Amino acid sequence: VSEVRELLAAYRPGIDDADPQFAGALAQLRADAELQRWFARHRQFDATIRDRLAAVAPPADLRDRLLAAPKVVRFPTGGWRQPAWLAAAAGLVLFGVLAAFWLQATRQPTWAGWRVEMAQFVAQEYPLDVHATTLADARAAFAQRGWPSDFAVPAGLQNVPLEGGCLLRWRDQPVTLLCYETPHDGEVWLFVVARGITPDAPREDLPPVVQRTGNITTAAWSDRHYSYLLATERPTPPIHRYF
Amino acid sequence: MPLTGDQTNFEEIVDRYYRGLYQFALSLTGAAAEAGDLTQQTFYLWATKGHQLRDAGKIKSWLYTTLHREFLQSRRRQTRFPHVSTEEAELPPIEPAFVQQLDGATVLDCLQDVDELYRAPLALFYLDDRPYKDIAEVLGVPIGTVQSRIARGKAQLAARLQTREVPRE
Repeated sequence: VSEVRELLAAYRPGIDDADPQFAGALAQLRADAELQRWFARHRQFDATIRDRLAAVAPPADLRDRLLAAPKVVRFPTGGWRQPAWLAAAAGLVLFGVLAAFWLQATRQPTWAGWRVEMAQFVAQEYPLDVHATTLADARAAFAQRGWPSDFAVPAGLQNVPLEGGCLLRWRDQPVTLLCYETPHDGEVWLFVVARGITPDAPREDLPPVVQRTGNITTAAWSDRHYSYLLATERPTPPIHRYF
Repeated sequence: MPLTGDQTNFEEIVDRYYRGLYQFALSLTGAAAEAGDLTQQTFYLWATKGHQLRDAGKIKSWLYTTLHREFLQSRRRQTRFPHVSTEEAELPPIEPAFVQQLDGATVLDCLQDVDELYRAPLALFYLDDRPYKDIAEVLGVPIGTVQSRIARGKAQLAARLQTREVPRE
């Protein structure tokens, strides 16, 4: 399809008239009779779809349900715009941000920081780098790329269906992520990283430590070579099934 | 709690935006109950976090962005492997008489067959009258991407509609 037609397909007469990115396409439209026929058909289609969608009425009780939520939201107006104290406050904030950046850049990596970042990763949409339904296939794929692959999978995950995994990096260290789909608890993730990634990584002789980060429950432990982080969206109790 | 001059009126905001937000949610989900829940969740988040917004002119963008994000979050499993279609963005020929006979239910139903990647830009194309800069902000993608997704989404929608039998009067 031509670039012009693609642009015209997104053009909304009366709304995008002043948008300069459509100017060239509209000029071509004026000079091309065949394009005009195509565009007329397009506009008729759009007008019908727009009418049908705009005619949808919300459920009669929706407004009442919405208003049952908290009534008032405090909103800053007026005074926050110009006063001198605002400039002073902004300066302090800027100083704080710069100081935080400096501290972040110089400070040692911590296990807590790693754990939170891993939990944040699975809390959002992400693509799988490795598609594998067996652990052997996943290990082979990780090994081929130089990521941790000879780790020990906990007994509770041995028979859980595997979807695949991701190749992550944290402070230049490779992190292997295995993604499981459990029958009862939804997704379960296992992160594996070299044990020395942070000085305060879990000790080898201690049992897994379970913690909650946002909507993600995690359990962390180490063996001789690796540190592990098991994660699930479910509350605390079910995670014990998997380690 | 009484409203004062320096507070945004929750009821006013609901009245101004809930219909459009519900239509957007219904276009995304195709299910009335889910669309209602998404709308409700969006206003709940506004009620609890809206105070963090510093620019009153951005309320609409905030609401649409939040609803879209909540939708994506609810679909995270399904969109793990988004299907990126390579089909052409050309609108297939459709008889004008056929188009006129389409009803809202058929349009909404076929919209659910459009790749999720294209559905939100397409819904906003039809339901939102703001500049593309704002729509791109809601979707979190560049303006050019929004426009090419609209063209492809529209082509998919038209192709799906053509396979439907128009209800007879």
